[in-house]
Amino acid sequence: MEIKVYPALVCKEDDSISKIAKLLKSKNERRIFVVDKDKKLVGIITTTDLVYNFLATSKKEMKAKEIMTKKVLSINKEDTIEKALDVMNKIKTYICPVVNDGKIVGVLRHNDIVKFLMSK
Amino acid sequence: MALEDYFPTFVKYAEKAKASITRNPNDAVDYLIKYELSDYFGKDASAVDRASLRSGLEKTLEESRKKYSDELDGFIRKTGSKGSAMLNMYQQLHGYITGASGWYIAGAGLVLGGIKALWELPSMYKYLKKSHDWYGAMTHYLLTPVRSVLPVVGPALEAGAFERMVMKKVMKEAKYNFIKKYGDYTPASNLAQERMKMKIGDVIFDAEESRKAA
Repeated sequence: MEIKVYPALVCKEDDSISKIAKLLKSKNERRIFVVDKDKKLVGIITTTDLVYNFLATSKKEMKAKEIMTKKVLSINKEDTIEKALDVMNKIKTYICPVVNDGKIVGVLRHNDIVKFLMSK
Repeated sequence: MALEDYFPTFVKYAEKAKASITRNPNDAVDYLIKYELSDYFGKDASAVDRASLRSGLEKTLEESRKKYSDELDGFIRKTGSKGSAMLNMYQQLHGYITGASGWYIAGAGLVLGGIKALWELPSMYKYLKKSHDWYGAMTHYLLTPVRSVLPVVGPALEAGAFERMVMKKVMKEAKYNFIKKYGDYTPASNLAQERMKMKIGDVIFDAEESRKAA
């Protein structure tokens, strides 16, 4: 038994929020990870960020880097499962991005970790 | 502590001893699950796990049983063993009814027990060659004279003594092979604790890749 790592939805720092909104809608996701030109994880944008920023400013052409949350807690491939659960607990979500040398590898889900821990 | 306080313990011990004496594979599996491998089948295991473990145990028991099938089911050995035991029982009953001397009944019982032991010798040799169960064989031979002179119940016990010895070994081997196959029992809580220390990189797989591969 292993833990599934799901592909992360990513966008670039200079992508517009309308493009990001369309991407989120098409993939039926609530969060998107922002990567720089070296594909390193630099931020995260949630649907809440989009709603707050767009409704507050009505600027459709705002860039991802302007609205993203910059301090993204993530775990490294070398970290333990315990740390992954700690991170999820800290940010109060059921997912956690996994990075390798700063580059995003995918997303771990809380239920998959629990399944793995409890499996025989 | 009064004597009656020991009664439940004694009952449990007797129940275990009774359950361990079986030739039926299903009962043997039940015995192993209840008394010898209960940890594996405890509350930590789901119904699916239990079913799969049981089927694994049934398989290992069947394999061990096959290994000793000649000794368990050998017709010649069985006929001689049962025949001499029955004859012993008959001579004892006849002796008690006709008022024969106790020494005579016991002596005849010992002779018949000896004949039975000699008759079983080839099977015992084959069994020991396979199993190296010296303790079982020694216990069997030490108890043979005791069972042979015990009134009526003794010969009845002696009739199936060889099979019981072999079946005990079969169950022991099945248990050993089961543990070898499924590993030492670790409580789920300990397992989870151990897994918490594992590195993410060692346990993840790409869901997208596996989806594409499928």
